[in-house]
Amino acid sequence: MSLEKHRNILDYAVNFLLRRKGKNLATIIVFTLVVFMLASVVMMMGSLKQEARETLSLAPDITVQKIIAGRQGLVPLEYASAIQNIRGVSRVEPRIWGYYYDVEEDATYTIIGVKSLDTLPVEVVQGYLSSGNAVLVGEALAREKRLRIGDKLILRNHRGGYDKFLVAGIFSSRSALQSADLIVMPRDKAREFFGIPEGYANDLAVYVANPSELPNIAIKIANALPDARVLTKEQIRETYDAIFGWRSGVFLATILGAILAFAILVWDRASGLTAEEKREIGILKALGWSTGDVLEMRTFEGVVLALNSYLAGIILAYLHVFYLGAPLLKPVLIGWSTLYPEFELMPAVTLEDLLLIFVISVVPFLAAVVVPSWRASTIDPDEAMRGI
Amino acid sequence: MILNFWVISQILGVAVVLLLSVYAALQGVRILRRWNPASASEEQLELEKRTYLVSTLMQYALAFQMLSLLLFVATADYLASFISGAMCAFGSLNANSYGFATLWIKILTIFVYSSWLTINYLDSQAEDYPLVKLKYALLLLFLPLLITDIYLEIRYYTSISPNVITSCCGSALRTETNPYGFVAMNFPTNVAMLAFFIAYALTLGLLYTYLRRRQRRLALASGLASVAAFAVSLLAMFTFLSPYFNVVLFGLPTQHRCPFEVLRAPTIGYPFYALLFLGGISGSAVAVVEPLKAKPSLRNSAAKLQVQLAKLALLGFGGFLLISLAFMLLFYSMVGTVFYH
Amino acid sequence: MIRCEHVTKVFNKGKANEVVAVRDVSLEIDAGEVAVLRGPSGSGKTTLLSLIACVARPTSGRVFISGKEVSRLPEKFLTIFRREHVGIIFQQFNLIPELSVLENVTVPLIPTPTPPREGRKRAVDLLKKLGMEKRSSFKVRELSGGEQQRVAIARALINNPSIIVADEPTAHLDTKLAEEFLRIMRSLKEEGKTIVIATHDPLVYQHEMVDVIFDMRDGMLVEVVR
Ligand SMILES: Nc1ncnc2c1ncn2[C@@H]1O[C@H](COP(=O)(O)OP(=O)(O)OP(=O)(O)O)[C@@H](O)[C@H]1O
Ligand SMILES: [Mg+2]
Repeated sequence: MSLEKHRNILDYAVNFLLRRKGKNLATIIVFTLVVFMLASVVMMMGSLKQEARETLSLAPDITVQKIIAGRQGLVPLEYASAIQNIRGVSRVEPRIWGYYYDVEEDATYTIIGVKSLDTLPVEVVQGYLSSGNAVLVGEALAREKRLRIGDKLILRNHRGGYDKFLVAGIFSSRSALQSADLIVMPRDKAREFFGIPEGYANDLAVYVANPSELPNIAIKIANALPDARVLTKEQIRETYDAIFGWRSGVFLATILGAILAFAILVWDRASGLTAEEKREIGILKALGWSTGDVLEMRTFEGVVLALNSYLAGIILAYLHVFYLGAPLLKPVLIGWSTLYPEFELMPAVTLEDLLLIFVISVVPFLAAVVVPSWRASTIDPDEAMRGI
Repeated sequence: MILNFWVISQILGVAVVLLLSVYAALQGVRILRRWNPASASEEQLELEKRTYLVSTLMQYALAFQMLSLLLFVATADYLASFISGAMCAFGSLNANSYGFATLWIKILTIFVYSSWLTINYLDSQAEDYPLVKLKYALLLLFLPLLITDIYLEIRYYTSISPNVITSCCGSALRTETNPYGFVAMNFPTNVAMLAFFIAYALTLGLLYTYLRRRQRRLALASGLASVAAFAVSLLAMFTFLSPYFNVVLFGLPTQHRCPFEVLRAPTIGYPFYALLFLGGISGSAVAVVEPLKAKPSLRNSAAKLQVQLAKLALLGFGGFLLISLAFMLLFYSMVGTVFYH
Repeated sequence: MIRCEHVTKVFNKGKANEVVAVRDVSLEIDAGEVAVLRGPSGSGKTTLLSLIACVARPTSGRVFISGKEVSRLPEKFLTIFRREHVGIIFQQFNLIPELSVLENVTVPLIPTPTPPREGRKRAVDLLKKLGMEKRSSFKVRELSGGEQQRVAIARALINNPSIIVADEPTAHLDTKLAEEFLRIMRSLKEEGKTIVIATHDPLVYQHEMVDVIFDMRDGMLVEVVR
């Protein structure tokens, strides 16, 4: 078993392919398109899943909102103590947060109040932090407003006046969804800025010690507080599941159809050898190539073609999804766009994604060409003796 | 029931393997029935050509089955975010009794396919193709295995219920939350460690002495030891070995005995497991080849192949052991002991 | 060197269009000899040649080359044997038109462990010997008939075979080129190669280097002239 032989045959296979550029071009284009389509979907799902994972990991076990006349209202802090008394609840945290519309940039930011800024996983400049009106901002926001650490950020408060803040740090978290348009400030500052009265919060974050008790505790809260809406992590998870499961199923139907069409095209291409190709293979066999050698050459041909199309498709899909924001897919994913009003897909391609795309594109292709390749390699060498 | 892009793709992959294998088996039946090396008829020539088709189909089937194993683990990892309590592939596979069963059967098919291809390779080295009947008869035996694989896999996905809480690598340690009684997790760590080092000392020693002495019983013993070392290595990854990787690479707590975590560092994880498979497959093949030496036309090529296989097995197991020891050392330099439990 | 024992080749056996192309032929050719298969069109020369060249297997009978029976070898081993022992010059040259002269000559080396560089070196040496070194980067279709045949000869010699087999080598050549071809064969004979030529060209079978002539009619060997 020597590698040299296989390298020689590979060289010849590439030469054989290049001499038939025209004939193979159609296959390469269709193949690349199929991989592009599949890869776009997979990459987008991968990216969304990454977002979901990070959102979920930060989301509280249970979120409690108060509903007044069918709309969300402020939650009185007494609710927090009522929930704290339920067995199994480890912690209740009132949250102050809201949206802020920036006229200048025509953009909506999210402002979140936290207990203290320096416990967050962000690098902050301590000197600025102690100034009393320090905030942390998301990377995308900082880019849009051309903010650097130490700059002033002026926001219009609920009374119509302007509050001056000092940027003490910038989020560079991997998750755009988490931090892109975020402004984080101390809870009291946020309360003051939005004008939320003392003794109230936007909602309550409830943490549970044992995840298996979560459904029970949710029911207990709902029973104890009839005007509260209780959202569990599970429900958020189900929303994601719907997106990744159901929608991808719809895609799959379309895509499997495309793969089928493609396999037929491949079969057609590979089984019909031109007279010239037949003659060449006959000559090779008469010159001392065995059936196995010719079969190996034809296999290499398929592999080279498949790998090139695969790589081209992957690169195009990457550009499509992460640089252009998946314009060809967005209209199809309507549910997605309502869940996330506006954000950039962050590049998240794993080895597993690439493997997945490989298995649904290259594997069926190679399987479809085995028999035609074999048939082509069984031409008898004595046909070359008689001249065909 | 869980149905999404990954699951369907995974099943598509397995279906392709099954299709290739069934087609190969049908060709095999035809060859079995008509094969007559004494004849120079056109039919015999046609059958000879078909042997190439079968070899190629089986090579593809093996390659795709390996991909399918990787994708199966990746899919399980992906599903973890939809299954309550699952944090990685371990939790997903533990979600019902079919998960790990599918994993084991996939690994088994890979061993079986590699053994077949070894026999096939040897057979094609001899001018009288002495193993044709054996080879194509064996081919038929694979189909039940593959059908079991696809059956278990479909049952696995259809039985997953996202709302039933599974136990993952960390919590599976506690028996009461380990619904499918995955025993490896509860296996005494010290015993596993001892077994690991004994198995490796034995296997590497046997392979080495086999290479020097080339005796029949050493070949058979090396093969057996290799299978044992492979199994014990998996056991090790479920018990004492994986925490070294998980602590050094990801700073996870030592209770985290997950064998899949290391794949999240793909440049270490995949070569690491590849070495283990290389060791297990080529090591067991040393024994598979041994009885074939009874055919006079195979004796020389079989002996030559055995030597190469034994060397590959040494490389595989040796590599696996070295990487494991390296991580134990790194762990030691961080924690100050290797006996963390 | 080459021995055929009661060799028969039947095409489409058992079907309506059954043809017995070679019927019960026994012959022997010694090492270093030049043998000619002679006969009218359709007499089975090409078919017998393909059996001797290990391109096909006989339906019955046995073929021995250098003492090894090749008539029962599986296709793979027959091919390997042919690759190592036989060089074939085809009736219609059978060159691959899109490839260069040099590439055509090295084609038989591809399924062997010969490194490409060494293959090219051997090809250049052979082309030089045949006076073709200036043409080595030409495409085959840019060559004259005589030049094409010399490429075909170089290709047949690239594996350094002990047996050279040629089918109607002078059919497409004028007298001058045919004589040139015979001169090359002559020098190959002097190198000790065994040569088998199928032809009905008197220029060939009357050449002084020919050691033995096998006359064929309807697939049968009717006369041996030594
Ligand atoms: N593959 C084949 N299938 C069917 N018949 C064949 C085949 N090859 C050769 N024959 C037949 O066998 C007979 C001998 O053919 P062959 O080519 O050996 O003759 P030849 O002496 O070389 O003739 P020519 O001088 O015309 O080249 C012819 O009748 C031909 O039709
Ligand atoms: Mg002829």
